[in-house]
Parts: sequence; structure tokens; C-alpha cells
Amino acid sequence: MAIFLQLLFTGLGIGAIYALVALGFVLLIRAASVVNFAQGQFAMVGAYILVVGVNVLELPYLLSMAIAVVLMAVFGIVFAATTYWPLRHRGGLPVIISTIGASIFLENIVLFLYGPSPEVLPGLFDSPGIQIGEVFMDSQYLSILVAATLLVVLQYLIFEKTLLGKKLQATSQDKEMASLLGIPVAFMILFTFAYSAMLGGIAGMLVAPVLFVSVGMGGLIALKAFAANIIGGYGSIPGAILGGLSLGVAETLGASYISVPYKDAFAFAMLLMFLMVRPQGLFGEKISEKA
Amino acid sequence: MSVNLASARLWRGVPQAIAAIIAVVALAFVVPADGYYLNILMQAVTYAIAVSGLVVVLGYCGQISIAQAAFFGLGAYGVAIGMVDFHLGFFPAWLCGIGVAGILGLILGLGSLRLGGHYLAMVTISFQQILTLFLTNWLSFTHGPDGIRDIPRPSLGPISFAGGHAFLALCMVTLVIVTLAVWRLKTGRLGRAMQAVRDNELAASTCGIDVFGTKVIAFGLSAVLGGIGGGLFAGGFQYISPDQFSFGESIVLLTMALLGGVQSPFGSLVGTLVLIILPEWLRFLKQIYLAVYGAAVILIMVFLPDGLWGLMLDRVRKRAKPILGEVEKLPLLTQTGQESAEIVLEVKELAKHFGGLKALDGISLKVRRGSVHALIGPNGSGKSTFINVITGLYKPTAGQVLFAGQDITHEQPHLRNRAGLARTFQNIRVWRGMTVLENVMVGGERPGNDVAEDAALVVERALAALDFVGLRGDAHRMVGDLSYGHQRYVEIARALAATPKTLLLDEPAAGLNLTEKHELGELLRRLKGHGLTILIIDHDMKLVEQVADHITVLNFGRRIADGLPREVLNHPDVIAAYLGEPQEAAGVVA
Amino acid sequence: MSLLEITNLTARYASAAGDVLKGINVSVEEGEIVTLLGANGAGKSTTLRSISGLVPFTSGTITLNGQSLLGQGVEAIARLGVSHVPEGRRVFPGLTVTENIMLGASNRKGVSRAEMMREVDEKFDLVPDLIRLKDALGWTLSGGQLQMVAVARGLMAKPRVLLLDEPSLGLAPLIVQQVFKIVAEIRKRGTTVLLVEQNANVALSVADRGYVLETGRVLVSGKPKDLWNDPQVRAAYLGGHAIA
Repeated sequence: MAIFLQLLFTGLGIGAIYALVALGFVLLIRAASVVNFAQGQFAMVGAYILVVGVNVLELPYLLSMAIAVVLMAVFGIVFAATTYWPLRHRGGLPVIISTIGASIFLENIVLFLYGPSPEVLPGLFDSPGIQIGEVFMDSQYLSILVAATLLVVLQYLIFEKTLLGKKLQATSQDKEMASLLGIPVAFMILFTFAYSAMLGGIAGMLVAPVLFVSVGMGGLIALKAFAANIIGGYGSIPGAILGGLSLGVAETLGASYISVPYKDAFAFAMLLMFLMVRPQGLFGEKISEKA
Repeated sequence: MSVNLASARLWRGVPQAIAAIIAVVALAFVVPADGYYLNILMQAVTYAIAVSGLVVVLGYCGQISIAQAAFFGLGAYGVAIGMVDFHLGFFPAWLCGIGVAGILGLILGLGSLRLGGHYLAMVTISFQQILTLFLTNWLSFTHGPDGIRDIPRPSLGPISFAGGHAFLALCMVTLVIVTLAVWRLKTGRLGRAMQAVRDNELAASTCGIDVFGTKVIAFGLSAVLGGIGGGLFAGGFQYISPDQFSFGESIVLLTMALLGGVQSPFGSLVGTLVLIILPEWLRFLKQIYLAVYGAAVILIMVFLPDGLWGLMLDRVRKRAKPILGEVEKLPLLTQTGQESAEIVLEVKELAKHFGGLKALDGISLKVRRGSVHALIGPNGSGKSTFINVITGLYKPTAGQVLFAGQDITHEQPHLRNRAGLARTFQNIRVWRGMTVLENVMVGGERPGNDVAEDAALVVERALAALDFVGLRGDAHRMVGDLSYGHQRYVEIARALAATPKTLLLDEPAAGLNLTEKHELGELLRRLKGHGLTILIIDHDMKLVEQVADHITVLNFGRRIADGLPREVLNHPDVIAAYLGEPQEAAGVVA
Repeated sequence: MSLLEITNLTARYASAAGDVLKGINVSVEEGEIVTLLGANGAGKSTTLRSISGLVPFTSGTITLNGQSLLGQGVEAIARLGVSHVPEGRRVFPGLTVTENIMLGASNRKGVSRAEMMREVDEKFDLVPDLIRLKDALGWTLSGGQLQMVAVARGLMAKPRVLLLDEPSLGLAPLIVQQVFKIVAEIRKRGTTVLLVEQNANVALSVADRGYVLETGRVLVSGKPKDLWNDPQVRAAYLGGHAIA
């Protein structure tokens, strides 16, 4: 039981990372109908910016994070302007392929600038963690869970309680109508890209002390977040969160009780299962008919 | 003329392919014997075979697969494991690899292609990842991360392919054959069906194409082509390891297809060659080669949507020669037939609700064989919903649809078409990536149509249908280049080429200008009197009263009038439905 | 100079060959309700879409209060005071009635939240039926309710001119009456309206002037009384046949 609870804790921690990246995915799908295959590289870029801040410039940890978050927002806008904007009227496929191109570009430009050897980042706190009953709560996993919760709450407040949030929702529901009301649609979409990049970047920074920081770190996270997205329900915000968490728990338990080398296979096996049996996912609306 | 056409089609490209085979075999043997050029060519040729699979699934059928390296790997591991561990010959081992790739492709396709476009992308990504994990971790079967060494090369009777030159020749000959096959696929019945699915699934399904089945076949074929290339790759390099078949390699293959031009196997050849040779030329870029690569993908998407091959074709494209000569008229036109008392289409108490909205609220309707029956009603009265339920695009909430005595209420759209129900669409749905002739040919290829099994007869039928609508001269133009009105004629010709029992015209006059409307009226009049049943939906009363034998009027999802044109159009409820209730009595006026 | 002046407007959709509008001339004076009538495909909606910038026009001019709308973006035109209530209502399905109406003020700068809520309440005065629905999500509403929300939202823009596209579409006669009572009320309160309708009778009952369009041209225009009795109007809808 103790081991199970311990695994559950770790699983939720890693699942929270998937959930954050998955949230970024969902927001872009809803705002711009973009399936962004470079979402994982957002996490990687965020982590590397933090590495530069903490290890190279030796700035305070939280300051580095703050700077990194701002830079990620800028990065999100640049990403939108180059990868999405020129192709926005050409349908889904060209944009998907262009984001794949961007993911290759990002990984390899970082590889070129930083080299292949993985970087190690210290944790946010010096304390290793706290023992509660039989479960040891690692401080970094704890920070991940706290930060993810805060971000989800923050996002809820922005989207549900502010006028900006309502305008963002309106834009994702009907762009032409939003535009007729005078809502600056382009700004809303760019904002979503910036926000989505920030989420991805924060996920990368949070997970960096747990994993090594390497150019390849984002790819796998993104694929898992992607799976989380489908499992939770394509385009659903609560689905992304729940899908991410359940995926994190499932693969942690699976790795421990079934097989370590195939740890990464559980997510994809779960995804395949969902696609075949319940393609609308946990929270998805039934795939509706359109003329 | 049909004989000529048929034999011309049968041998299309074959002489060129034979010449190409001779050329590539000669080329294979003059390549310098040191490993460098041999290896580059071997890689390019085997990759090109796999990339041609992407041409089929992505270029022709419009489905994104991101696992081509996985299928390539299955072919390679089939050869490697089969030969090294099971001591099979090269060819049986190759077949095993191809078979496994094909079967897994079919299974993945069957599981995911019923859903929207991005699902296949996701499923293939997952498959790619799982396969890599298995190749790396299943040590006892795959030899794990170190890979498999010393894969032997085959001999076939007296010919040995052990030497590099001979094996390269084998690979190149395979490539020529694959390229020929993929090129011919595009202009064949299956290839046209794939392109129709790519350009407009709804229209494809209402033209008798099994959309799901076609996608599964396309994906299965692409998996098989991946396996063919992979098997040769294993024989060519005699050493394979899991990292050669990773997600990254799938992306490389995809980029090759896109760079060259995913619409044509020649394009994929060009793309593969360029991307294999480019890094050799750009050695100075070595470190950031892949970054440049990634940027190139974005730039290609932005600036070269049709790839390098598309760019070259644009430069040299010449108009295909028109097909001259008399063709047999549409069979319809040689018949005469009048309206009979027989009911060909019967709708009973049909209802369709969207949430709380009752778009159709218990509509009954009988259409007599050989008549022109018009369905009219103001905007939002349920006409389009009606035709969408009849053709199977919507499932009815209640009620029954009988066609030629058969209950088709729950039949799939393509099966309804095969039973003889053809339609056009309010917002034109032609296949824009195809020529006018090809669009109409797909109509003629409806399974069960009298000419469907004979390519030459299909061409002839399509030309006859184009003759009828007056677009014969535009047969080889891309359909998107035609005016709106002429695109509508292409839709009508496509429907007529299928020899339908009943033709459903969904607002054929929508978006036409006055002259075009006039022409359309003429055309519909020429269709009358040949026994074809027509159900026409339109707003244009002038058109409707010109052609209709019967009129049914809908409003708010209900039938408000039914009968002969003159009676119906003077019916007070109908006038009210169109012009609104007279307001003097209503007392709104301020 | 009229408030809204459309001169020789021609327009086409990117997907279609040939002009949908072929030289339309329409003017709307301050405080008027002007209606555009005609059968489907006559170009009524396209005219509205050209005014609000959704369809770029190929030639001609549109001026609002003397200022040209040529080349202005959709959002910029909305900020100038053109409020377009499009065909199909387009109420945001995932937002509540209050939120939908509130967003109608997006074209105006510096409106405080309190002010906005007060204005939303004013709209509820105009359409009391909506009060009990104020927290209902858009997708749960009926056609008539959606139309009222759409109109209320359009009014939040404090428009110089309100473009109303087919408000009666798909509504039962009784509901149509209700919607048009609101339209008449709006005019009383001083808003200028350009109304597109297929339902000619009801449109003419509230309008000051009307234009009948056929295949992209103005066929006839004038006062409701004259149009009412004009056989061409009937013909434009029901074909030559129905001229009694």
C-alpha cells in the first residue's frame, strides 16, 4: 500500500506535467484549430532558458523562471507569426506539417547552440522533501503539483471571470462573429499562442530538475500530452487535465508493476485503446454530424 | 475508339519503364565500386520506395501517416530476422516483412480511419513509438539496440545479388516498378477514388465510393511500400538497428515526400534524392543541418505547397490533347419515358431533430418514376436537411425512406448511390485536385454502373455526359479553373454518368447569374421526357415552375402544400410562407 | 449626404466566378429603417457582408457618415459603429446570454464593467423574455431566443447603423411578430437599421423605405406602400407565374 501511494504521488507529479503541456495543446486547438506538434519543444526551450539563467548567468532561481516565462510568451508570438500565420487559410494539414518542421528546427538549433550532453538543473528548493506517513513527498514533485494547481486555477479565473477570457472563448467559438463584434481576433490568437508557450515552458522548467535537460526531452512529453488530450477528450480542458494525470499515474504504476523498459509504451497503448473503444475520450462530446 | 483507349491504357508507361529499367541497371553497374556512392544511392533508392507510399496515403488520399519509418523498419527487420535467425531465403523473408507491415497497417487503419483526419496522425505516432520500444527492448527477438549484423544478400537462380552493383540494380529495378505502379494508380479507378476522398469525402460517399474502405486500402498500400523499401534497405546495408527506424526518420520521409511534391511519385523521387544528397553537398552545415531541414519544411509549406515537382510541372505543363471523336450518347437520352404511377422514392413520416430544433417534423412524400418533383420552401424550412437525410449524410430521428421498393433508411451513403440515387450539392462539391474529366469518370465508376468495370467505356461515358452539359472542350482542365456555373454542370455530369434512377438536385440555381440560370433551365428541360426521375430543391421559382411536374412545399420542417405547380404556387399558405403573413391584420405597423 | 451611402457596389466571392453584386445603390438616412428584399441569391446578404467588411468589394464605394469603408478591416468597421447581426444569429454557444450580450460592446473602448452591466440590463428591459435566461448557455436557446440575444448583442455596440440579416429566418409566425415588435421599438429609440428580409410583408410593415434586389441589382425601390402593390415584388419571390 505504501509503495502504491508513493507511486501514486510520483505519477500525479509527472501527470501534472503532461496535463500542463496538454492544456497548451487544447488551447491552441480551440483558439486556432491548430494541432501543434511543437508543443513539447516549448517545454524544452523553457527548460534551456532556465538552464541559461540559473547555471550560466547564475541569476536567482525564481528570477530566472520569471524571465523565462516572459521570454516564452515572446517566443510563442514569434512561433505563431512564422509557423501558423502564413498558413492560416490553408486548412489543417499544412499547419500540422509546419509545426512538425518547427519542432525539428527547435530541437536542432538548441542542439547546435548547446551540444548534446544533457544539463542538470538543481531543484527549486534545497530541502529534499517531506515525509507524510509512509509517503515521501519529493520537494520538486510537490512544487510541480502546487504550481500546476495554481496554473489551472489561474487559467480558470482568466477564462471564466475576465472579459478578456470571454473574448478568448468567443474567438475560439466563432471567429467571424467575434470579428464582427470588434473583438481583435488576431490579437486573441496571438495571445493564445503566447499563453500556450508559457504553459509549455513552465512545464519544462518544472520537470527539468526531475529529468535531465536535453534537446529530446520535449518530444516524448508532447507525445504523452497528446495522448492525454485524446484520452481526456479531444479539445476538452478538463479532459486534458484529467487525461494527463491519469496517464502519469498509469505509466508510473505500469513501470513499477509490469515492466520498466516498456514504461513509455503504456501511454501509447492506452491511447490506442481509447481510440478504438472510446474515441471521444473521457470528456469529449460525441463526434457531431455536420453538413 | 474504345479499343484504342483500352490498349493505350493497359500499356501506359510500360515502354518508358522498360527503358528506365535498362538505364538504371546500366547505371548501377557504372557506379564507382568504392562504398560511398553505392551507399548513397542504395539509401536514396530504398528511401524513395518508402516515400512513394506516402504519395499514396498523403498525396492521393489526404491522410497523414507519421509512421512510414516504422513500416520501413518492419520490412527491414523481416529480412534481417528471417534470414539471420530463421535462415529463410531473402525473398521469403522480404515477403514476411512486407506482410507484417501490410497487416499492421490494415489493423491501424481499420481502427482509426473512421474518425477525422488527425486521428490517423496520432495513432501512427503511437505506433511508431511502441515499435521503437519493442525493437530496442525485445532482445531475444530483435537483438535489441545493437541491431542485427551480417545480413546476407540473395541470389535468384543463376543471378547473384551478393555484389553491391547487382543488389543496387535490384533495388533500382524495384523502384522503377513501384514508381510505375504508383503513377498508374493515380489515373486508375482506385486512385481516382482516393483523390475524391481527399478532395471531398461527402461528395465521394454520395458517388458510390466507400470512403472508409478506400482510406484503409491507401494506408495499407503505403505500409506495404514502406515494407518493400525496408527489406531492400536491410539487404543493401547488411546491418540494421532500431534508431534507423525512429520517429525522426518518419519525419525525414515525410519531408522528402513534401519537398518533392506529394502528388506524384516522380516528385517523391526528386525530394528523396535532394534530401539524401543535400547534406553531402552541405557538409559545412553538418551541425545545423537538421535545423535547416526543419526550417526548410516550414518554408516549403509556405512557399511551395506543391513541392519541387509541382514547381517544375508548372513550368512545362502543356494542355493535354482533347479527346476527339463521336462517343455514344448517354443511354438516358436514347430512352423515352413518361411519368408513371409507380412510386420510386417514398418518404414516410420523416423527422430529423437537432437538439431541440425540429428541422424535419414528420414529412411524407411520394415521388413518381419519370417525374420532375420540386421541393420548395423558404430558407430554413428543412429542404437541405431533407435531401441530406435522403442521401444518408444525416441519420433521421424517425421515419422511413424507401427507394425503388427497398428500405434504405439506415443504408450508408455510398450504398444508396450504388442503388441508383445520385445527387448534386448546394455549395458545389467537386474534387478540385482533379480534372473535369476525372471528376465525371468517378461518377461513371459507381459500382454496379453498366460501364464501371471497363476503363475505356468509363471515359466514353464521361465524355458523353460532358457532351450533354456542353463541357467536352474543358475535359482536361482542372475543375477549379471553371466558373461557378460550369462547376455545377460538372456535378450534374458526374451524377448523370452514374446512370442514376433518381437524380437529386440540391439548389442547382444557387449562386448562378441570370444567363447561367437560363442555361440551367434549358439543360433541365432537355433531361425531361427520358424517364429519369428528378427531385429538385430550389428557391428560384422561375426555374421550378419551368420544369416541375409536382411541387411539395415545406415550412418549419412540415409539409404545407403538395400538388401541381399552378395550384401550389397560388396556395395562400405558400404565398404567406414566401412573402410573410399579410401585416395589415397583424397590427405590428408602428 | 446620407448616413450610409452605397454607390455602384460590385462584389464577388473568392470561390465564385462572376459578380454577386452588380452595381448596387442604396442609401440609409439617420433614424430610418431601410429594408432590402428579394429572393434567395439576390445579393441581399452579400450587400450587408460588404458593408461590414466580410466580403471585399471589387468596385464602388460605401461611406458611413462620409467616411469611406473601403479597405477597412472587419474589426475597424465595427469600431466605426457598424453592427452586423448576421444570418443564423451566431450566438456564441458556450457563453451565457449575459456574456453574449456583454461582448457586443467589444467595439467600444473604455467601457467600465459596471457601465456594461447597466447597459445589459437596459437590453433586458427591451427584451424582457431574456431575463430569466440570462445565465443560460447559447446552445440551449430556441431560434427566437437566439434572435433576440443576437439583436440585443448588436445594440450593445451603440451602432450608427444596425445591419439585421434575416431575423425571421426559421421562426414561427408568432415569434416573427415578437422579433419585429422589437425592431420597431429599436427604431423608436433612435437606432438606424438596414434590414435584410425574405419575409417581405413583415419587413415592409416596419420599414420606412425598401429596395427589391434581383440577381445582384436593385430592381425597384420606394415606400412600403408602393412596393406592396408592385407586381415585380411578387414576381421576384414567386416567379412570373404567381402574378394574380
